[in-house]
Amino acid sequence: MGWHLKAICGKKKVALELGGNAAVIIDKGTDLAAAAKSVAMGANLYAGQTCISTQRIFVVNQEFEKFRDLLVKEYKALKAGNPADAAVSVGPIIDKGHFERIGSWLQEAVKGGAKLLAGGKAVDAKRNVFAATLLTGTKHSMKVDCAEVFGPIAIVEPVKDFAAAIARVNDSNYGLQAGVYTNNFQHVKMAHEELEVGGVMINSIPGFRIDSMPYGGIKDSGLGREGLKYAMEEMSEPRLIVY
Amino acid sequence: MPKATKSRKPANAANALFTPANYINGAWKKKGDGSFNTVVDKYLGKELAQIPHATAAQMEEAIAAAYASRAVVQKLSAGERSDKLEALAKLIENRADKLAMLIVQEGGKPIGYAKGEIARCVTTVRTAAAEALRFSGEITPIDFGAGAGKTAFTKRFPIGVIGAITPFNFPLNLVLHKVAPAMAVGCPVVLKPAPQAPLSAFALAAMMEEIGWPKGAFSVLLCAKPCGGIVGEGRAHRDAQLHRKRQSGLAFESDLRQEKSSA
Repeated sequence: MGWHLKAICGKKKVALELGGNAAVIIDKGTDLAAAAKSVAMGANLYAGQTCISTQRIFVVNQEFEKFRDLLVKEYKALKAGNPADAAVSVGPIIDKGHFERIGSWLQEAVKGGAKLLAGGKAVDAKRNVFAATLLTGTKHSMKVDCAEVFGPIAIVEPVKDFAAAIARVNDSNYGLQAGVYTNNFQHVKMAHEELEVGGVMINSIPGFRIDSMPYGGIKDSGLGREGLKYAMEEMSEPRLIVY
Repeated sequence: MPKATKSRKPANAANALFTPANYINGAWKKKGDGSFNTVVDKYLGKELAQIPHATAAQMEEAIAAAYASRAVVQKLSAGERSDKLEALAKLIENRADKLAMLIVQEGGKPIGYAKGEIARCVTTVRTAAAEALRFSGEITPIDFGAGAGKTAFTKRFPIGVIGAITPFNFPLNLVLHKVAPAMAVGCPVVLKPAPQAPLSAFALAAMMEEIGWPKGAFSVLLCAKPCGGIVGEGRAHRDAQLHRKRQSGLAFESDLRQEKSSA
């Protein structure tokens, strides 16, 4: 829709903040327990209905099993249900259509051989509440990997090393923000230089956003930057005077 | 016995924040094209409000009013625009609990996150108030060659009317990410909020009215498909051309490309 609007906007200036299938990398030598807690939250905040919701989790081989188990434990602590309940972090999906779409994307993955680690079903189908769901053993062609879920489904997969993780993050039509848990400075630099995204969040989930930050994506994720100062630049133009 | 009907306060917290009507050129328009956008509580399923779909002529009116308000908004000094933003931040702060509950209801967002969104809204608007004061341009050194002895600098000017189309997932903060910077630089805005969760945007319209933001410089309306005036399509070509000339910017944010938008 956004790109269609741009196409019909003629000479008007257009800013598009669209979505993505945001990824996080878990490197070796990081605090896995703390990362698992944040990633579980980042994948399910507002039932995953944010443009920078953590959808793809790539863990370097030697940490995979340990991190996966920690993550599953965090998933089990998440409460779904009534959004007015302060203990709930996974509320309803915005409407029935999206609730059903999310369920069908999960079915596609499970039928294709993906393994369920947590969730995997409706908690309250009448009220469109879907369980925080974690998958592994997915294929890139599955929608839960390559498309934007915009719901509480994430995939966790092992990767050979940090470079392979970067390649997996970049293997996407989208590029909004990425999270990187690492304490290796070379990897911080590499992430900044090689990740095809609008922003790299170190030791944080891709969903980290402070409102003054320049926020926006590349590839299919959008055009231009938000964040007050940056939006003000988009909404104004410089007029030169020479004397 | 005292009767509850004596109270003028509406029972629903949502109702206290806005009028269920499109806000066009400084007026709440309860009449639209005859059809309505029904907003429901996303968990309880009960109806929160019915907002009329604006007519094509009302969209036209909103855009024309925004266009006409450019000179008024541009006449405000940066300091005055900053003061208005600060007044808006204070109103949001004062209504934080009610606004958060509205987001819980219309968006189905868990209360902790809804309160977090309102806190971010205050930051967004305060940051815009601060940025408005230091918004300028840059000196370009040209004192050499053919430019010797000359001075060059830029000053930034508002591009004009902003058409904003916003998503449901942050029904107030992502609206403010369009509206606050536009106010800071002096651009009028015509906003079409997400049909699933538009009530926070109407609550913002009520606050814009309260702070005395120039009439016509902020309109909020929902419309049935097609509602292309905001981007200059779906109308007679002559009118479409007119829109192309008049409207200068479009800010679009959505996470639901798989859904047909009502824009």
